[in-house]
Amino acid sequence: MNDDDLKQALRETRKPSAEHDEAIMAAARQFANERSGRRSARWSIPVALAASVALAVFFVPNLLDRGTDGLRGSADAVDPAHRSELSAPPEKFTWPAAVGATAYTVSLRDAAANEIWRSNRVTEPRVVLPADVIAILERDVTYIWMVEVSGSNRGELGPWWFRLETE
Amino acid sequence: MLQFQQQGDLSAFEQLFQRHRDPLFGFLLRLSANEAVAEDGSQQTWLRVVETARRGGYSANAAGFQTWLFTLARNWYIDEHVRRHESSRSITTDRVNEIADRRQSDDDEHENASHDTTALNETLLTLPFEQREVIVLWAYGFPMKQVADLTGAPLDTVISRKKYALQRLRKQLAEPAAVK
Repeated sequence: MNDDDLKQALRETRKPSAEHDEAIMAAARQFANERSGRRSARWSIPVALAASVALAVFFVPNLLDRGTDGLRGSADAVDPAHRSELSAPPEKFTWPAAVGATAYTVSLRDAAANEIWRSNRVTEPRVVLPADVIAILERDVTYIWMVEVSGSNRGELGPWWFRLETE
Repeated sequence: MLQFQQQGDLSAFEQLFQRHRDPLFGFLLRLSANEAVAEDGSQQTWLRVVETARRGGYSANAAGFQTWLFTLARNWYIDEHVRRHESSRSITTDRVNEIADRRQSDDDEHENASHDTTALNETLLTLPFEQREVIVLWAYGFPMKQVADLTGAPLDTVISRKKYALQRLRKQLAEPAAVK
């Protein structure tokens, strides 16, 4: 018996039952419905939020580079640097401390302004990106991050953006 | 898989399921020589695929969907049967009976085929598990490098296992009496 004959003989011709298939497809359908529902909910995010981020990022880029006073963070003092092209995903975010800040929360969004990660509240102006978030960052995609400041000078820092270079 | 995971695209899942369902079931059937075990393992593996998508846990950087899928199935089989040395007892009696009942009507149609496959299954079961899994994956077209990735064994070891498995299969198939 040559290799091809043996391979053919070793391959099973029997198939699983219809009940087997139906149980699996039912689980897949349930997940698809859940995911579809989540997508609908996501689209219901107020248009103003997405529009404001898009406006800030895509139509008023110079605004980000001015290094203005108060809460507007300087683009030169953040890591990853604003508009940086990175060869590897960032492992942490750092930004200038804001006067009167008691806590910070970082949000990371894709270019369509969908939030893909939100940090816990931290008291120092830095946060480490979890490994599972690093793992899903894709090349050739622009990511936007910003910092919500809690405290007497409540407001937002950023947004800044970075992009992972093509391999 | 990513399309299913990220967008809940059911048609993407259906395509994956249609493409890999029979090879996966066949792989488990050849490992176990037991249809109830194979069907249970296949179902558990696919449900794990859906659950992984729900958690967003599938990564495109993995060795590829097929290798990942068969790794899930292999791990299930090892956990449920190889480590426990209970090739047919580790799934519930009810589950076995349920599947056996469903199979009853099909048995007559497949009687002749079953006789043929029984001899091969018995021969396969004389192989050590490590050789059996390599030879079955080889039969389903996995390159040896992929088999090494899937089993976690060095490539040289996998090639040796395949060689010894082929020798034993050929010898025993040529001398059916020696199987008993």
